[in-house]
Amino acid sequence: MQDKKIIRAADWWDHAIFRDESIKKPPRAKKEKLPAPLAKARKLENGGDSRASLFLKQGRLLADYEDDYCYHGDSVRYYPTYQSLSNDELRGYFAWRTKARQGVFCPTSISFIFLYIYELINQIGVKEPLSGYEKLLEINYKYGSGERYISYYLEQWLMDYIVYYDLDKSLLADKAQVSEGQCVSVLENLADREQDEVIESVKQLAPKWLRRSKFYANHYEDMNEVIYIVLQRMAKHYDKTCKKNFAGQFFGSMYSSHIHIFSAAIFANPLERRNYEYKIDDQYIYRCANGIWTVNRRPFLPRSVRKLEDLLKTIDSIMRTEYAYGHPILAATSVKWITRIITEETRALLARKAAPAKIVPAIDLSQLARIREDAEITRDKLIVEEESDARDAEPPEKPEDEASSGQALSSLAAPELRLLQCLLEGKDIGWIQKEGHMLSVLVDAVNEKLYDIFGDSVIDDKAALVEDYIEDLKEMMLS
Amino acid sequence: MTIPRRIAQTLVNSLKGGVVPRIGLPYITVGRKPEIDALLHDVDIIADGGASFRFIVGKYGSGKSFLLQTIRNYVMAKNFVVMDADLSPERRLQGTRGQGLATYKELVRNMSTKTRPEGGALPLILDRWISNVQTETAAEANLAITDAALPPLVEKRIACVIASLNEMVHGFDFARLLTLYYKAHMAGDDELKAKVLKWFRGEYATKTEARMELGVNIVITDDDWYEYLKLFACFLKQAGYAGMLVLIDELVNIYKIPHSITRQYNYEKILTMYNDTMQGKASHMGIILGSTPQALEDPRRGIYSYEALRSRLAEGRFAGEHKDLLSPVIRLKALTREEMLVLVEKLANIHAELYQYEQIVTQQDMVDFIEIEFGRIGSDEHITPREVIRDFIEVLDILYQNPHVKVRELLGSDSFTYAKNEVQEAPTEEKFAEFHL
Repeated sequence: MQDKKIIRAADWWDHAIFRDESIKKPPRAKKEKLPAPLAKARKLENGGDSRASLFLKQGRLLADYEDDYCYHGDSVRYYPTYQSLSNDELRGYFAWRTKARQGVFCPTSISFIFLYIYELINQIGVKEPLSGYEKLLEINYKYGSGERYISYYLEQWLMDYIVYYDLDKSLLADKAQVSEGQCVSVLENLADREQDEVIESVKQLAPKWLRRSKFYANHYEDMNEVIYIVLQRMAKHYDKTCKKNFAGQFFGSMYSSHIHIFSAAIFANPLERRNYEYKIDDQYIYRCANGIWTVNRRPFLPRSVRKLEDLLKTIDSIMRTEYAYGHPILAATSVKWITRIITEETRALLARKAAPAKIVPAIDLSQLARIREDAEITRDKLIVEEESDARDAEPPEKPEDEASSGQALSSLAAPELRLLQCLLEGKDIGWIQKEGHMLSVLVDAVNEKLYDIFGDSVIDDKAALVEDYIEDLKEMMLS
Repeated sequence: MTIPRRIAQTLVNSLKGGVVPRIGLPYITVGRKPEIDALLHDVDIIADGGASFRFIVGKYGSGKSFLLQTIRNYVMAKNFVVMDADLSPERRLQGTRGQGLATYKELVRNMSTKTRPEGGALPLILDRWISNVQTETAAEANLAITDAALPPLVEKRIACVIASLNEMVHGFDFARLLTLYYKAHMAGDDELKAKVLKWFRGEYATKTEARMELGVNIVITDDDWYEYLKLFACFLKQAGYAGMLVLIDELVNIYKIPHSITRQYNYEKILTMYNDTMQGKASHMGIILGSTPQALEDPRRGIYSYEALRSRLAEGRFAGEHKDLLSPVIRLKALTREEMLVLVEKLANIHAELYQYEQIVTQQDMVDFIEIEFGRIGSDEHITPREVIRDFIEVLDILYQNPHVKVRELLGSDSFTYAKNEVQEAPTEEKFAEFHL
């Protein structure tokens, strides 16, 4: 009995409750035909091109394509290209792109945004580079705040875009690396820079300490002056004694490193750049040599900033001590020559401030007439008779003036004239002693009598004619 | 007013080089009228047979050397003989290691006349003296210079001439040496003449040496060199000169002597000189000493630390802002801005005359220049006429070569740099280091 019940229950179970059913095939989806441009682009995918090249080809083909497809999915593709999207996604992308180009930016998949960015950096649908740059900025503005990876990559790609497409350097002005480099450039040429420029650069590079310092807030003019002079002296010290200059000491040396332009993007080198240079400034140069990209710049490392911050803190500390400021702080560096410079300049500044302003009294012009008159009286008293005769007479340009030369010669006594002749003609002067004269006396007499003509002795103490006057004396004797 | 070209050239070249010119000083002397008048009056006194003693006191750069050189040139032109020396650690007025004698040697070495302005005039002076005596004797006796009868007459005359020296201290020995020089000249013995000159220059260290070479038992020493200066003054008058002027500068070197007793001995020497000149014990001689205010007035180390000198030299209680130029001490103050202006005016005129161009520097330019020079930091203490003159001549040279350039632009540009005050900016040698307690 029991078995029959079980069998009847099993039959009921099999037939009433649990029956075999055939597996029904799902209904076939209606296959939409791809629009012709998209289909044409799809055909390119069998060409064997690289990913980037294919992307460029397809992109150029579809540069002006528009669609109104309704796509509600969420496309998640890494390094999206047209190839990597499905047809739906592809049409969905172009529909979004159509609206984006009209200025309507709807929420969309991150893949679509990156795909659009890749189009722009490859100049797909871009009339000229500057407009592509503006569109990139627009994308960053519209979607960058919501999707952090977009702003993260665009930060570098925007810079690469300016470099690659040779846009104006002014577009880089707000880039941190560029402005830091320019600040370092200022500090590299301290001797030629004004104080304001130097301080501005210092603040940009190392803003933290100066923002916090109360002493700086109260004495910013003095501290700026000391910072400026200390940096100049440090620069001179480094130039004189070290291989690295000030900028090198604090911010490292310039060096060249390999880079990938538009790194992590699908980029096909549309301009086919092989050899190219873009100079942002002396501190920052991009180069492409045989297709290899490098950047020559100074690496801006956190420790560079720290070193400068330490210096500013040390200046602050020493100035507080010298100013007897009520809140002393510890100096961040104890390098003796640096602390010595800071102390010297701080004290010099305090001394300059303490010195009263120099008042230069005006010249009293009413005294001039009296002073001139007194000077003339004194001059006339000091000029002895012979000099005054020479002065009053027409001053001869050369001593060959016949009247005065003749006068001088006629004033010479016979032995003096004879001595002069003998010296000019190289004759023997032994007759001097024989005739009872003294050579030194005759020489002195000739010199004295001809002094007013020549302003100097014409015979030296060795009884030789002074070379400079020989020709003039010969002419005098002849005339 | 026309300046002879050679004088203008010497003036411009010397001033540009920062040195006092050898000639032409009257053309650029500005200010100092009372001081120069006082010194010229002294020269007249000396020429009349009297004596004078002056201190010229002024800071570095106040124009002491300029004034001394001006007077030096003036008196040489007036047929004076000038002897000058700068004191130094090795040359003092008195010392135990011949420092006093070193000063005397320097003075005699630098003995100068109009035709021998650089010094070394002693042989010439002696020769001239003998020649004059010979000429006068020959004229009086109506003999030829080569006449054999002349020498004894000359010798007799010389003996009369130098007889007056016998009354002076060491006068006899001085006269003996002069006679020896004459005899050496007559004998044509140049070697003996040289030895006599050596003696006059104080170069014999011992009496033995002098006795062996000259037969005299005396040498000029550290203690009595000053007496020989007085003898020289007297002799030079006999030799036909108007007088003798002794210039001793850098008295600050006595101030710097560390040992007070030694300083006192030196100050005693100054007192002796002062008393001799003021009391008529010296004739036809002027003494001018150059000093800084500190070396004179410092009550612990300066000349005024020696009471005998202080009481004679210090200003009385009635002196104040008025200068007493009859006092032995002439104090030089720095030239005023107005005097500097007149000075640069003169320089501009001399420069234009020398290079024969139309004057391009206006009075306003010169006023601007002076204001800028005096507006320099530290100019109150450190600016000297030397720097102002050098700067101005540099300006004139640049303007002459670049007439389109304006003075104010030039003074503000990098192509013009102020003349450095070499003394102030030079490193201080240890022996000149000072300190104040």
